[in-house]
Amino acid sequence: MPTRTLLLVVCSLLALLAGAHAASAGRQKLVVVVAKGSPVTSISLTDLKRSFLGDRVTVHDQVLVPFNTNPRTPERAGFDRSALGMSPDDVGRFWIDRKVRGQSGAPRDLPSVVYMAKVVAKFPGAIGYLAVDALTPDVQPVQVDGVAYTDPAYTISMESAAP
Amino acid sequence: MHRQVSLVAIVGLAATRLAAAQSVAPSSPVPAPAPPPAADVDLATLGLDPSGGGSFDDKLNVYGFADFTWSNTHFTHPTPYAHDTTTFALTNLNVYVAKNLTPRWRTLAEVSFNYVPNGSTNADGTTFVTSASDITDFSRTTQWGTIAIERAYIEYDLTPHLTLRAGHWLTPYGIWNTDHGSPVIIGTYRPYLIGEQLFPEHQTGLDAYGTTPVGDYKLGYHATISNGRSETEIVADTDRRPAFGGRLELEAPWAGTLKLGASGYFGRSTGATTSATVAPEIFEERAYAIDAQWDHGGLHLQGEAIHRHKDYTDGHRPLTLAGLPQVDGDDLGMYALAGYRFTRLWNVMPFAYYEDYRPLVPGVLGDIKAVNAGLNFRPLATVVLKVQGAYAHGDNSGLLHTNVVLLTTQAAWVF
Repeated sequence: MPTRTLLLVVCSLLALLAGAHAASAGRQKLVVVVAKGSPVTSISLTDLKRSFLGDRVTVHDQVLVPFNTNPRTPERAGFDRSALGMSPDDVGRFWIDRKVRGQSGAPRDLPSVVYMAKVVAKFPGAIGYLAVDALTPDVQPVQVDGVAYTDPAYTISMESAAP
Repeated sequence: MHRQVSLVAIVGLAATRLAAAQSVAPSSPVPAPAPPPAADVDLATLGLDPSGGGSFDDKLNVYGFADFTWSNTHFTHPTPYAHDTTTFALTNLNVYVAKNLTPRWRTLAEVSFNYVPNGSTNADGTTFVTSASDITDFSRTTQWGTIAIERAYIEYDLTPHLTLRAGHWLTPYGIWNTDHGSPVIIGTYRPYLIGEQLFPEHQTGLDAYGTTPVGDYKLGYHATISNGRSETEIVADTDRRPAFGGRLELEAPWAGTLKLGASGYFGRSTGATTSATVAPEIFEERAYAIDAQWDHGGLHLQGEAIHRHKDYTDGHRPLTLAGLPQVDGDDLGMYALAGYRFTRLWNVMPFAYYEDYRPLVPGVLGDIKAVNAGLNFRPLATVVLKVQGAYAHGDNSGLLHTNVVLLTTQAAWVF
């Protein structure tokens, strides 16, 4: 009887783990991108966060100009959560509080993913993020903390869309 | 007392119901709308200069904050100088005007609109009323208020790590002197110590500041020179002796985010001459402060400690309550706050803080020890609702020999 109970518990745990892995695998990765040919090929997560949270960040003598997608997109929610570690509520509070302090405002929001790819490709110093299937030949993936988006250890991903 | 309890209960009940109602609203991100045709995007249509020169926001930004407060103040011992009060008040209305002039030049002005001096208490206990007949409205009586320029300055980025600010600015020390807007203050008011201005709240002059990353850490600094402290410092250096100050900051990713700061200020304070028979107050002051903040998930801890030494100039000492010249000495104060931000019930943050303030000049309550506790709701990024209770114990060396019980609720919003 104890053996059957133990087996049941182990099976349940395995099923849970499999489910969690499937959910994780179901999230599409978000690739941090710059213009094709940019000297920026890798960035630390710290610098990435700083750049998207209002600090001036220079990589390879290039001042980064961050661009966001619209706040109500899965790309934006996923980036805020997996790269910046902030929920949509946290992000709203963060930028409002900065306004009251008289500090600089948020990065520009672009209307859609199409704009993101084009702006990153054309605008000097631009850095943004795209879903893997939205990558274009004009943009260049950037490693984060030395990890490429093709690596299973890469953690920046899109938020699951609402059902 | 029943009214206080009722109001707190109503606020709590409303928060619970509205939070419950909000929880059924969709909060997950929605799929992006159908993108426009994938034809070439013209950067100019987005207000971007392909040369890179137009990446900054060059719009004139006008925004602000306001707050509305209900407070009940109870003095535990009868006193002829102060009475229990229960009142509503529109306490702050601040408007900001900000603009990036170029990628390296910026300007910011913050103006506070006040009802004072209308309603303030005169030295003899009477109430000051500002009345005037309004000739545009059949000469009916109207009350007027004032405006205060909280800050107005221009900035220039000399290098990526050095910015020069010139104008009237909030003194860069501690946490809640520069974070002075009610929406970013966790309680309904700042700790009493902060309002006592052991450092001047504002200064007029130059502030050279900057930050630089060092690995995962961020270092920051300020170096200031100004007219120093006086009632008229915004337009005149009354003693022609500049005041100096500075601040060092460290931000570290230690189990969340830890921010540490240390600040100093040195100067002579020369009061304005407002009477032919009373000499203005003059003293040399040296002030030091340390501050710390730690955020780990929803947990927020912060504290500040401030010390100031005053050396009065003979002949320019104020008189104590006993009528004797004030001796030189120190002001000392600290507070420590803990709060936890939940993701439910309108992102409620229960918080509590303890404050200990030992002024050189006893003031209203003398040495003060106060405990404060409350709730901070953030239903929207732009709206903050607060409830706070406080008990302040005085040591009877001040003007009032009493303790104070204070209950306040506040709605603060950003527009």
